[in-house]
Amino acid sequence: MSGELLILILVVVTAIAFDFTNGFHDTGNAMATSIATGALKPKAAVTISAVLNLVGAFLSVEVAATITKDVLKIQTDSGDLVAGLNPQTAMMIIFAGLVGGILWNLLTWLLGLPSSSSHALFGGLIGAGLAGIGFSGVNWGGIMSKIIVPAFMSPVIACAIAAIGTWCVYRLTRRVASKRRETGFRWGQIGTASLVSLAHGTGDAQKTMGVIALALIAHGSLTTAGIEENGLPVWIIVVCGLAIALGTYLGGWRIIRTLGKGLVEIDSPQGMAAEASSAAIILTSSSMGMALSTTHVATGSILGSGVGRPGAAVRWGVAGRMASAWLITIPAAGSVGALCFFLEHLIGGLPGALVVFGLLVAAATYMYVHSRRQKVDASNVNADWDEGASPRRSDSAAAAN
Amino acid sequence: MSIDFIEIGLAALRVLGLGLLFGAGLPALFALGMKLHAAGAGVDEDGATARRNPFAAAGAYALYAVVIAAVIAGVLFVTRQSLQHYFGLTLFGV
Repeated sequence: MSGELLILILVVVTAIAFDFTNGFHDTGNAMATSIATGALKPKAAVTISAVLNLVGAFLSVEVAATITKDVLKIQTDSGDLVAGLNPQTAMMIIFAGLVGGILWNLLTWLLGLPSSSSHALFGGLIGAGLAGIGFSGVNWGGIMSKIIVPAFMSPVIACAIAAIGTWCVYRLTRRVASKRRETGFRWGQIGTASLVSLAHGTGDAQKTMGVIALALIAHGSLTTAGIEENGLPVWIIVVCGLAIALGTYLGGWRIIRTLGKGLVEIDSPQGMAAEASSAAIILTSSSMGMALSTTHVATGSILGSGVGRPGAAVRWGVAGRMASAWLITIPAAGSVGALCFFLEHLIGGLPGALVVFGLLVAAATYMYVHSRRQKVDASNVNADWDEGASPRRSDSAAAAN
Repeated sequence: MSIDFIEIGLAALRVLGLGLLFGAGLPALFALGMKLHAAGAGVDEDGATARRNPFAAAGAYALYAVVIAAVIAGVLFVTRQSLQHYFGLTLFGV
């Protein structure tokens, strides 16, 4: 087995791992509000979301083979590597970028902070790209208009729409018996949350598929002409769909908890308005060819549902922490991406890739072990939010561990 | 690096407009349907029963149908590429 093939396998495995982290990072965007209000039991919610994400991944026939074009100048319009770019360098950039994205996803998960997986991946790629080909290899204009500006605008727009929706909903159902209202809106929540999960599946699994396709193109075992004719190899679609669905099912409970309980104490009318706002924005923007971060939109919507309800309290401190995390996502993931690239480049070839992979596994294991000290799972995801304290786990769950 | 602020601004307005229509409008319609449903069943806010109102009930069902239709439209929209690929159906100007 040649060294190049082994490196390719490492890259593909890492991409799949990224897809997995993408899955559990984003479960909350669709399901946190439904879990928080009890519209769906935690396990039921993640199961539905996982299935819909899987379905969505399979339904996305559109090929995102030019995924890096928004942030880097390493692909042509058809998806091929640009002339003059060494395929080995491209492979190293992709690998380092993925590692940066994964580590940031894991860190924010550990801290229970919702953050954009797209930004983590793009940030990693940008950092690795800077390290690998320098300033001119980065698509600064694209980053600005497709990533940075939407990142600021989408939570604000989401907040506004959800606030107005929530206000309308409460006003209109002022005189409705509260039990009726609760039940009715819980049904509404299930519908809108499912729509968000489906939309997420079609959009996000694509990113990883595009990255894997690019790695294969760089290795030479796939051509853009081949993709044009036959579509993406089915195994890529299957594997990415399964990875994101599995991640979704395992559920980033820490993040679900922050979104569902940490920002706003949510009731079902708010939950429905928030998810409806998210669904509408995600679908509208994707129809216009803009890919927005589901995390930014969902968080903005949840905040808006708190603002729109008379008398609701919003924990702006938590929101502020999240905003800070969002601001440093790209630089942070980028730094890790750049470091990984330098390390790979320094050691060179297969040993370089193996070392970086080893570091990735070590860091991931460390963070996972650390997370077990303050475990958040289906049993305590809805426990009362106590600033600074870790949620009490139910006795049966604690006894089982 | 040139940023086309006008284009970005227009795109934002479009998302805001359509987002308001569907993202706030549909929950509002749903809420209205709920209100009519409660009136139709003759249950007021304290849960006491009063006279049933069949027109209100009909209005409620109509509104619920609109909301469900919108959700289905959303699903069809999300899957429009696949629908074209697998079934040759062209919706929403694929």
